[in-house]
Amino acid sequence: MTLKNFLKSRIQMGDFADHSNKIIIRNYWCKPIIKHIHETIGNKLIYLGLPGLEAIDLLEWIEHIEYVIAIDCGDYRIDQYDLAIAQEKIKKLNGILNLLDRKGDISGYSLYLGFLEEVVLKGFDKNGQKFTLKDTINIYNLDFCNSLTAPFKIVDLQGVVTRYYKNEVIRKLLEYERDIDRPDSEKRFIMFITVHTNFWEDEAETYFNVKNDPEFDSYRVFIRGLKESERIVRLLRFYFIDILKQHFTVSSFIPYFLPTILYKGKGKDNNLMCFTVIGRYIKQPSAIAPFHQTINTLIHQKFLFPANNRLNFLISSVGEKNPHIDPIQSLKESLLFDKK
Amino acid sequence: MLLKKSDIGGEIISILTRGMYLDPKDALREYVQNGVDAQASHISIKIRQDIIVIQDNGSGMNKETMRKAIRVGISEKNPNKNVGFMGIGIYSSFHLCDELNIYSKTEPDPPNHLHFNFKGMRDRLAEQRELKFSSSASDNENIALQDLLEDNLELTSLNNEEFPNKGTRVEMSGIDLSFFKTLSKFSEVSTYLEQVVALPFNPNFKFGREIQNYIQKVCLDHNISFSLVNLDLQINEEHKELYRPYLDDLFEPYALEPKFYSLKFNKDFFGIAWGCLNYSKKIIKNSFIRGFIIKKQGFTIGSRNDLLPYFRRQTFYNRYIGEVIVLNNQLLPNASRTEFEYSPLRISFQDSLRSMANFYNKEANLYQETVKAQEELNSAINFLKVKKAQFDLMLNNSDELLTTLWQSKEFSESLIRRKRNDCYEAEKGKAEIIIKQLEDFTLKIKETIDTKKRKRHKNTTQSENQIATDVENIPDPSESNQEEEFESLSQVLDSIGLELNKDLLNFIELIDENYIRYYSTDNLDYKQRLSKLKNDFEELLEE
Repeated sequence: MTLKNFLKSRIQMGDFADHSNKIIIRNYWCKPIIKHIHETIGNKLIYLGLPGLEAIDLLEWIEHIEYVIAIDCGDYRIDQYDLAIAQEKIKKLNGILNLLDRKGDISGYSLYLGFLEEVVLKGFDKNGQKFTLKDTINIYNLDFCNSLTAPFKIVDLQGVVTRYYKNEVIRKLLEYERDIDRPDSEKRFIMFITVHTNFWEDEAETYFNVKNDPEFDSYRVFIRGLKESERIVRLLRFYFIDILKQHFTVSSFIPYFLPTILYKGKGKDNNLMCFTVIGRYIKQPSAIAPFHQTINTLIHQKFLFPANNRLNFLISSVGEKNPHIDPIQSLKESLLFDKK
Repeated sequence: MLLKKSDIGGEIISILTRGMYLDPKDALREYVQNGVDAQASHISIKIRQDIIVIQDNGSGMNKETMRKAIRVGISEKNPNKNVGFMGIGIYSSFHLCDELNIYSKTEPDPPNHLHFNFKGMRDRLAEQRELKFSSSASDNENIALQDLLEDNLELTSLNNEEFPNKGTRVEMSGIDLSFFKTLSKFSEVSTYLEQVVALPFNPNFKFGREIQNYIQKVCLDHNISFSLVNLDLQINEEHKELYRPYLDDLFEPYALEPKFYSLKFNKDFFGIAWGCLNYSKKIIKNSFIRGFIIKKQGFTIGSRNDLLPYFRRQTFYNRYIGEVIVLNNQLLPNASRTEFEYSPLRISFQDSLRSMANFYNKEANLYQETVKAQEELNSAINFLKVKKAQFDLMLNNSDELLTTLWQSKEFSESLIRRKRNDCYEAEKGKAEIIIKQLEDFTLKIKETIDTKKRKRHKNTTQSENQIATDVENIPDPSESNQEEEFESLSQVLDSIGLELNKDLLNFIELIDENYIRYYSTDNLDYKQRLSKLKNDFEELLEE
């Protein structure tokens, strides 16, 4: 069985509903990070992401959030997408956000109907609302867990069809954040990105087919003794970290990767990976931001996994090193979220 | 005569609101008005996916007041104090959204929630119309207004946590997509609100404070009060504190100090007007803001074009930015705020508007003359400086002498005329000195030419003969055309308020060069042709 066939199983969004593991990540990983950033910055934060129709993440973090930019497609059936159904479904999320606004928990919100890729890259949602960012985002919460096949096709206003890889959404968001007319020091954020490990996308496969460097070759040797499924998640981590590093540095953001979390979602074979990256804008003549970590260090770290109301190290048969299990330690070590 | 409940049909709500609120944005104005009437100091409008929220920090409504708010055509508001008083504004979003939810809280009472199911009401009325079209409707099936409202309205009590702050929050949801497309365009909505709502002046308009102080003083003198409100507009991430739309940048290069005018007719006092004229003799480029607009209690009545006919001359009207602040309580706006209700007082008010327009026209004309006079004075000073320095060199150049003589006389005559017309208020003394110097200089040249003439008699040369003839033929500047002078056709078009894009400007320059300048005998003729064209154009415009 080829690598692609082994991994290519379609996941419906229903499998990605709330789960005890997600609760642990939300409460014991993301929430302390968000609280720390809120306290460091001294202001409540601006959130951009896909909170889901129930907005569970948001409700858990709400005391730290000032403004919400939410994107939801409403109807997750890609092949039989129905706008009327989507509009009806999104009312639930709209109702929750409006209630938060009415009670004064948040100062406002924006809600876009459509797929993340389409809203961000096309610049419009399905109801014709223009997507623009006017303020710096502090929290990105991006789920790439839908069953979209990559690359995503976007038809622009002139009717031209362009194919985009999902990671290009991140590049575009970084461009938005970079170009916002705000002081450079405000352009810093935390980005949570969740992906399916058993969804081998064209973009990753293409990447590995052309990847030809000694670091990658030696890593392949390093993980050779692992089971295929274990190797896949490590390759995917390699891919994501490398591609994110490129997007961040090229967009003038210093990236800092916190340990990667590997966990099981709801349903069979629903393995998910959560990346946590700090970004901070730096203006410099070369336009390429520095990278203070090394890919080699990051790919040789143990994964974290949620269990027993906490995060734990995932032990493997290859000699991987322990990263910080306390996210605040990583945040402080990054020096990117100091009070300056 | 006894009436039945069904004598007032539910359709009345649809008919009234459709006729009164032609623009979906009018609903925003109506709910903002309610906030102002509730003494709110701050109102925010938030527009996002399918929900529009207007929230104020005013006095709020208790349950009894909310109950009264649903009444149609009955209002407890006082037209002397409040902006709204028709008792229909709450239904202004009837055709705009499916649901209207109003949350309100007074101190110390708990909040209440009033729910309007507009979609239910519209569907019910549509059913009734369907039946009528099929001719199967009986009189009994006509839905009464009372039934329609009873079936689709709900008033409930809330606890403090559900709506914690004092004030009122209006939520329109289920917005018709065609309306939503208009309402989600930030610049369209903000431009509308800046024009119609009682907003403070923008800090970037340097005369704002002075004008506001003046308005307040007049209000105090006449024991009238009205409030301005801080309004905040948020459409998704775009967010802005709104002000009246006047900015220093709109003027070129800046605005002249505001001129105030008191609108009176016989014994009736209607209010005041303020107007700032553009410093340069050009129209204000922004056609949405130039000219005058009428405001009553801060809210706009009608549109900017309404006052143009009173001014007659578009040229001057478009060089102003101003407002007419109506302070007379007897003048009441019509329901759609397009005009004042018909009354004998309105006729007097219109007469006072005519006088006001005359005043501002005269001011603009006087300013134009003053500027020209100043420019001419400066040119004369410069002329004297240069020509006096070159005088010895001119002695052997008869043509130059003649031209200088003519110019000097022209300057001198023109300055005298402008002085007579009081165009040199502050610089009268300076003007007198320059006139004297010009007269002396003219005399000096004349004497020089006379000397040359005498020499001609001795040595009759052809050229000196010619000089003498030319001197005799020097035109008298006092007889020259005193019309406004233009240097080009594009200046003429600019002066009458026509805006030209780059392409048109190129065409105009081509026509100017090949057909007007080309056929002009000299510069004076050219300028006269331009002045005549200007008059012709203005006549055409006035027609």
